[in-house]
Amino acid sequence: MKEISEFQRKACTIAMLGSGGAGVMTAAEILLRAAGRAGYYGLMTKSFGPQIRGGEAAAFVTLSTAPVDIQGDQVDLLFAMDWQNTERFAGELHISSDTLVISGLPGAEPPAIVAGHQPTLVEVNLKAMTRSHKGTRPNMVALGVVAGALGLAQETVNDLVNERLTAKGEDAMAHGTAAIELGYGEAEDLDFDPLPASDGDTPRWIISGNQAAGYGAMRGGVRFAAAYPITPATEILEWLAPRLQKAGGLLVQAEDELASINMIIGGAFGGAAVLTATSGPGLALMSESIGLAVAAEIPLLVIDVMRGGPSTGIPTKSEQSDLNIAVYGLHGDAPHVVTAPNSIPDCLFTAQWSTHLAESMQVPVIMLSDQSFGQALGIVDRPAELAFATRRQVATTPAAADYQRYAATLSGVSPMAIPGTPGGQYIADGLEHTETGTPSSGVADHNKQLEKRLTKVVDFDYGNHWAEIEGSGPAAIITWGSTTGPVRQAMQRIDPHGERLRLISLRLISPAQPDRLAKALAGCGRIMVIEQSQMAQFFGHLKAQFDLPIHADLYARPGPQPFRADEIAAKLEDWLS
Amino acid sequence: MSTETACPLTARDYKSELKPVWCPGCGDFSVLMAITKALAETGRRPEEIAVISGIGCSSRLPAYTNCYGFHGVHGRALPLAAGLKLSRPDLLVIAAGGDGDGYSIGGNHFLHACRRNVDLTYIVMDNQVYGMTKGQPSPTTPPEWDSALAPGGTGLRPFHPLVIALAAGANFVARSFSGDPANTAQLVLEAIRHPGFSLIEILSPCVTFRPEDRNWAKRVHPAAVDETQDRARAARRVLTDDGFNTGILFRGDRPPYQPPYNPAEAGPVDFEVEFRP
Amino acid sequence: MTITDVATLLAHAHAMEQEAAERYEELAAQMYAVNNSKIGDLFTKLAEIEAKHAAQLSLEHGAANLALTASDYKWNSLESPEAIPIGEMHYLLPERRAMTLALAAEHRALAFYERLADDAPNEKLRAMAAEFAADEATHVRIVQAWLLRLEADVENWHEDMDPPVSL
Ligand SMILES: Cc1ncc(C[n+]2csc(CCOP(=O)(O)OP(=O)(O)O)c2C)c(N)n1
Ligand code: SF4
Ligand SMILES: [Mg+2]
Repeated sequence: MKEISEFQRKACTIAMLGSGGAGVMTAAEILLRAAGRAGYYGLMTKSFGPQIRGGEAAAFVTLSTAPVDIQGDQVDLLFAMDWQNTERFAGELHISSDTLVISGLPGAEPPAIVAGHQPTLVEVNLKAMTRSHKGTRPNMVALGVVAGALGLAQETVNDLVNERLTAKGEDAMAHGTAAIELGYGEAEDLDFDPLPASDGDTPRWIISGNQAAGYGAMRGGVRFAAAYPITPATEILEWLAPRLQKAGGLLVQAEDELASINMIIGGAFGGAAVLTATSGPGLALMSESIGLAVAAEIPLLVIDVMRGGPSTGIPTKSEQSDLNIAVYGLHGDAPHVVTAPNSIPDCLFTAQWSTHLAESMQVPVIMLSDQSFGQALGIVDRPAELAFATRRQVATTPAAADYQRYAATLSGVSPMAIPGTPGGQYIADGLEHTETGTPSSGVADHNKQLEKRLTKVVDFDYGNHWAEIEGSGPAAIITWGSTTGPVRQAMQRIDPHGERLRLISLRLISPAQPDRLAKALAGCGRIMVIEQSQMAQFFGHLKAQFDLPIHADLYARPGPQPFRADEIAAKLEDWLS
Repeated sequence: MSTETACPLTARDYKSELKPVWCPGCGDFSVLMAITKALAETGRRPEEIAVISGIGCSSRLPAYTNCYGFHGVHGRALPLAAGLKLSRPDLLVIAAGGDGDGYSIGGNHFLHACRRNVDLTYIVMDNQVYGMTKGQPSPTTPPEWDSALAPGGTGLRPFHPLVIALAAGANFVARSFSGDPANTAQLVLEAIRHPGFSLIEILSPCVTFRPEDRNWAKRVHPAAVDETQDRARAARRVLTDDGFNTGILFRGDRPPYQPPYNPAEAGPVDFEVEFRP
Repeated sequence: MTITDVATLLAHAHAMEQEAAERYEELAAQMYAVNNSKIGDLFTKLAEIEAKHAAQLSLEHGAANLALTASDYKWNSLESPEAIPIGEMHYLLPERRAMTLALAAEHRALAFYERLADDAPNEKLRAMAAEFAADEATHVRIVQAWLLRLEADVENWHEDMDPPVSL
């Protein structure tokens, strides 16, 4: 018999469907917050049609008493406000005969992707209810039904609805409460197991990966940002814009990515810790100037929230396919750093760490987040306070005559004079230069500066942040980014005590840490690499830069479908047997 | 050059089967109508026409026509269109897109397209916002317009595309309003017929992110003065108008850039002689 | 500017019904694309009615055989009066509001003919315009009666609790 992981036993996955402005996202988000207040962990992801307004929408919420970093395999409770174009969600909506399906539109036939699995079907007449109670909204009634079925306290839901509707006035709030009441009334007749008891009101955070990345960067000291809007990175900018304003910083909307990257290069040259956030197409445009930042030794953070590519691709879905351009996309021999968070809260950590790396080494850092973190909302444990000690080395009292901006120090890092510092005047240059910064095409200068720029990045002590290592089994799975969650869940299922498997999730993608990986792999007979990229970019990188055993196995596939734990568990079972 | 047809084509023949996913009420619906109407009048068959765009809500337009189309990358419609026209002068080439696509990320290409004066018609659906990415300010957005990315407004003076086009050398400059599809169709037709680089700026409201612009219908008015061939006068006029003046503002006589293709009289082998030591 | 001969008037009458029908079709497609099939169906029905009007005109007065170009039309408005402006659409458009827009369109058509019935340069034109005005007045009454049967739209029908999607 298959073992069931703690997460699986305790988790409940809810899907809410609706189209044409039905308001399922708002309802699902209130549900998530209510569960968060009640002491559960949770995750909410969204899926949409191609319309900006009025399209079909699906919200998925997984709740558990254990941390949640992926959606459950199956939907336990589905609330459909209507069935219009539900087929769009075919790959994401996993219904089984155990699913309780509540249709808000009596008489309407569920589509085959739902009905075909013979779930229990219950009807709730949203229209009749909202009609008989003027001012109530169908999505709020639906929220009441779902929250009621899950056994969440009605008061908590009411509070959240009221907070949401305060701006609309007393009446709207009263209607909100009435709608929730109607929903809870309907839920009484449902045969559905409520959530297991939670551990009460543990303080947790509700945060998206994009917010976490913005916040992490701010914690890391970022006060100047320039960017051009692009899905799915825009929320980082939207989060930062007003907050930087309040924190004495600034976010500028540039005219394009060529401008954004150069604006932050200017800001960093001026002494500020800086960032820009973008997605694949924008990163491609920035690559020339990231090369400039490498040559001129400008610290900066570029957050790439990856989406399906190439080109415009699939803006609202995830894929791990920008690894190559991030690691190998610069012209010339251009050492720089590429990092990747492995969970929503880790977006905070990795952004803060990346800022620290950029500043410490005076180097551009590209952080590869992705849509599945960026646009998902999680209820997570409050992330730990972190303070990285090292900051940018600046030349405070340079003496004009012998100040060498690009001095070839032992570490490779040379103190940077910030404009305004008397005696520190130098020319930052993309042309190869001498230690003082004078352009030079001499062999010795080129070698010296290449060496310096490589040394500072390669010799830096990344500590044990370079990877997340779990379990101690003899079969290792190497993965990165958003594939980590599903792999972790799959491992917990088939190897709950970590005796057969070992997880190594790289946070530092480049520069490669072959020695560290070799150590982490000690005693491993077999290796499997798992990633979400058709061309197996991560695998290629590992093979090129690390000492990967020749017989390492690979499971790679493209987006847009997120990995599910059962998909990976099946692969691993097969692999292990 | 156009193929004679037995039965004249109508606007419908230039529309594709694909149904637009624009928000109901979006000005771009009317622009699409106007373009297909104008195309029907050109006498050119759909397969002789190419509609090139970048990325944005407005840039989805090519897919809704029955012509050849290219939905390229953000901001690069103009160089792509120029490349097509220069390599295939026989085609009728139209570039279409938004204010963000054309004036922000594509701003540099815009200048050089005006200057190069390839025989193209460039239709900009200006809604003074980035619709597709959820309502950020564009170069034509008023300075005080509040948004998530620019809380309290950008504080920046809007870009003036028509004056810039004139200064950069565009050969035909017109402004229209999506809610006036008949005149828009007429202007598009004139722009297509006029040789060289023609710009039509179509005020095309975004009802989702700038619902206040539904009132543009009340603000637009036909240009009080007739079109001119005098660049300086046209520029002065658009610089001092209220931005809602519609009609043809300028019609120039610069010859379009179209280097002639010589009949081939040599092939690669003929050049091998150069490599003899 | 006004209309001075019967052929031109007929061409206008035809174009008006034809464009109203085409516009309703277009609006129906817009509504279906955003899952508002109720109003999509309503506009489809209205499109059929307008198409019938156009056919009836041809039957009674012969086909409009005068080919006018866009600039020859003298609507005294940006678009033909009986077409609902696209800018009036909203993805959450409710039934009553939709019919109110239809009524406004009929009123504009009526006003168009009424003015002609007063202003046209000859008696024949004035009589014909008056006849068309009477037809439009009937349409107005039909739509008004239709409206009376409809429930009031919910207040705040245009409110959507969810944010727009970013693509
Ligand atoms: C290189 C790059 N950067 C950013 C984007 C994201 N993006 C897509 S459309 C758009 C703006 C569209 O605005 P506009 O051209 O005015 O078109 P509208 O949607 O308003 O019609 C942006 C920023 C992208 N696709 N590519
Ligand atoms: S968001 Fe604005 S520009 Fe885009 S389709 Fe909707 S109304 Fe049109
Ligand atoms: Mg725009």
